[in-house]
Parts: sequence; structure tokens; C-alpha cells
Amino acid sequence: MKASRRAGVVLASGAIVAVGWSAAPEAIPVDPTLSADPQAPSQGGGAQPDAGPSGAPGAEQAFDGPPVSNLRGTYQARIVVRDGEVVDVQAVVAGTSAYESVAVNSVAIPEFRERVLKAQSWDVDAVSGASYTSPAFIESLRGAFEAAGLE
Amino acid sequence: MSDAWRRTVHAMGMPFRVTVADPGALGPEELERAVGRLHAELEWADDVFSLWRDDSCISALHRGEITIDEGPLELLEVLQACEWYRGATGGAFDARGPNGLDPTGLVKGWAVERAARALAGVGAWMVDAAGDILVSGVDARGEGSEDRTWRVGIADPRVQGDPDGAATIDVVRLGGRLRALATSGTAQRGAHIWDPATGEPARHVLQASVAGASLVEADVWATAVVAGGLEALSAAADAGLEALVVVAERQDGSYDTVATPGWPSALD
Repeated sequence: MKASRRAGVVLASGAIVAVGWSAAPEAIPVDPTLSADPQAPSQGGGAQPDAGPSGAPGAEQAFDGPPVSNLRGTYQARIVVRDGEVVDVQAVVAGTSAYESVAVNSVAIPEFRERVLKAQSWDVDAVSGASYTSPAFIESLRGAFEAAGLE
Repeated sequence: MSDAWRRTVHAMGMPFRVTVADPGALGPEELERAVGRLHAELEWADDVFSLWRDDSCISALHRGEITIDEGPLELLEVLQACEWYRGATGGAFDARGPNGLDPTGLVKGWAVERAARALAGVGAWMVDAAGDILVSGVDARGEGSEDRTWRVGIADPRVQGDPDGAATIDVVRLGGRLRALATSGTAQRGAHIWDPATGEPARHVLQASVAGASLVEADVWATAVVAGGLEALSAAADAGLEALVVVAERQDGSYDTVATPGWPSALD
């Protein structure tokens, strides 16, 4: 397989091939309204209208889930809803450290170059990602959905 | 995909999506019952291992109300597996968290493997455990292909939220020897994996996806590579696993990635 990959740097084990591919040629546009404030007080699942008048077309509204604690610390989810659809999911608090906001607006994902475009075009059965590795985060996320009236 | 039979059940605070491409000998009602049994097994695992539920066995263990011997045998089994993997990964996977014993990194994969026994007799199925994937059989739907394996995207580490809507940076084929795939990362949700060597949140790589024969080993090694970096990746490769690691993001927004030679990418 993968002649192109074999050209890469060989690492310690000798069995591993380094490759680089490109994604997102431009800076990630971060919507300032989506920046999570790590110090935001928890509202116990209550709605937090952070942006725009409620219900206005195109306006974004943020909803926080309840803080959920486990052995690893406290997790709190926030969803951003626009026109009844979730456009972003953020961690307000994640584990032992406050979340360093690198929020990416999921409707404004930058252009991807060739390889990533190719990946996008595939019809896949599932996506493997690290999004949901913290069950406590999911628990909080569920509360945020309820607060937004989406579940 | 429209002809796939799908059910989603919730347990352990997350969705588990079951996709059946070939029901095998099972009729529709039997399929429903099989998924019901899978759901019950996952909920049972939550009863035992949930760290954020006061009434779980492991919470009682932490409070000192029971000993390991007084819990179900599976409690001992999982804790022993954690110790075994701590050795196998050279300490990169370590369930001894800063606040006590935390087998969460192993429990999900273990519970899915165990619960998937309920799908015995189903010809081809996939369980998507919130981004960690286990498959069996061949997905022969569509495109006239007789041997199409399951196709799974690898999420872009920058993109948060719903895995179903996430951008993908690669697509792999699962089946045969590589029937499990797990992804761990630090870019999302802040850092939720500790580097046992420093006690600090792990910052070695952005994301590690690991494919293997079982979801336990795929999940544990994905965690280990995020915690232990490229050294742990070498160990994973030596242990027969295949991996794609997103090492860093460049200034121009592209990724540096590392893959094992047998990484089952569908794009090359």
C-alpha cells in the first residue's frame, strides 16, 4: 500500500511511516460568540441566552448542561443552537483543567485540500472520533439538549 | 445505506448505534430482542463501573464500603485487565488516575465486546459506541460488491461535537483481522488523558486512532498513544495494532500524521 507514505520519515520502531497531509489552508474562523468562558457560573441545566434575541431567525443561542463530576473532575457541556439546529458543541469545563477554547464553528469548517476533500466525499458507515470519550461530558450534553428543548 | 437496519440505545451516558447489514438467520423480532439484550448488558456494565453514579460497585469500592472480592467477578476482571495493559503499554495506559482507580478507559470497549455477544447469529453488524467501532461480518450492501468491508471515517481532531456530522480526515475499511477501531484525542474536550510520567494532561499528540482485533485493545492503545506519544505508538505497532496518529497541526493548518504500514486506509 501507500507508496506515497513510504517516502516519509521513519521513526524509532522502523515499522512506522510518517505522512503529512493538508487540511484547512486558512486560519480557522472562530466565532467570537462561541468562545466559552471557563469561569461561567453553572446554571444547573438552565438555558443561557448568550447571543441574540431568542427565536430570531439566524440568531444563535447557547445552552449549558449541568456540571457532571466524576473521578476525573467536572465536565460541563454547552451547545449552540441556530434555527433549531445544533451548530456547535463546546466543553465549558473539561476535567481537571478549564477548557482552552479552540471552538470551531461546525458550519464554517474551512476548505480542505485534496485528501481531506476525498475523505469527505466517502459514504461512511460511522465516524471514529474522540468527541465522546468522556461519559461525564455526554451526561452534561444531554442536559444541554433538554435545556434547549431538543430532546 | 438506506437499507441498513439501525437501532440506537443509550447507556453509560452515551449513544450506542447498532447497524445490521445482514441479519443472518434472525428475523425482525429476534433482531429487536438481540439489541434489547445488548442494551441490558451495557446498562449492567454501567451499574458496576460508573464513576459518577453513587450506587455503582466501583463507587462503593472507592468509598471503602466493599472490597474487590465482594463485587462481581467482572470487577476483578476489568481491574486486572487494566493492570495487564499498564504493563503491555509500558505504563502509557494507567488506570491509576490522580484521584484513584479509574478503569473508564478500558470499560467501554470491554462492555461493548461483552454486550455484542447478544448479536450472535447476526450475519453482519457494527456497533458504534460513540465513536469507537466494533464490527463483525462483511457489509455487502450496495455497489454490486461482494466483499465490501465496513467503511469508517476518522474525525478531524479540530472539529467538535456530533461525530455523525464531523469532518473526516481519512476513511478506513474494517473487517477480518481489524474489526475494532478507537480514537482518542486531546484537541477536544480539553485534555482528558493524563500522562502517567508527568501527572499532567497529555499533550504529545492531537489524536490517535487505533485498529485491532478487539475493541479493548484498540481503545486502550489509542489512549496509550495519546498519553505516551510516539514511543507508545512503536509499542502499539510491535503489539500488532495499526494506527493513524495526528501528531500536530502546522501553521498553515495542515496536519503532520504518522501511520503504521498496515493502517487500513481506503483512500490510498
